Amino acid sequence: MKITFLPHKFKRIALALFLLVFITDFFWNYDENIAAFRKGYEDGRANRPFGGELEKVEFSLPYVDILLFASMFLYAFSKEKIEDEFLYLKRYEAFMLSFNICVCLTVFLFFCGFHTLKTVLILPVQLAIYLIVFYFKKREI
Amino acid sequence: MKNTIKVERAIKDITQADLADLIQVSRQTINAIESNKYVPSAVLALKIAKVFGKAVEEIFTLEETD
Repeated sequence: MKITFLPHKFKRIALALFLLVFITDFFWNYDENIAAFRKGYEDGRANRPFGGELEKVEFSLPYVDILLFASMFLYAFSKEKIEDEFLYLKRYEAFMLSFNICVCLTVFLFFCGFHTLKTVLILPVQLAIYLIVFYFKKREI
Repeated sequence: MKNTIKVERAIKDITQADLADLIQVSRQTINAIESNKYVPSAVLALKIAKVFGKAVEEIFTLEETD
């Protein structure tokens, strides 16, 4: 099956978008993040149950998950500088491996008591694993 | 499947990168083919043979394990 990828320049756009969203999101509620971290640290030191009294704080920018997923999606489906059949094979291997890892992870988490796994969480995780695996597969030769 | 790409390259005095440019694939692909980690498609094998001016079966030969 012939798959059409986006032009190579979309890789740079995706990377820029990812970094922009990630950094902006980090500083968006920087104080709350630090406060939450400090509270967790103090709870730990005082041997209190973790997060027992944590107030519900909105940590993220609106639509941050969607933007991060979109940037990863763009990156994954953009062409390399030279796209050839060997790279197709590496993509396929990376996809299969990431799928298998994700299945194992889902089963593992299910038996650990996380019975309400959402598809919206599984999909970005698989995409992230795919990107990491593909990166290393490209460099193993 | 074994191949004589390395030998042919040496005869023509071209690098992996040169060969990759000639047939429009990445250098990693040539490296993978040379080191028998990847068996190319018929189209790619024909392109490689064309660069060296030889028949495909002169460059690529089957092994007993194939």
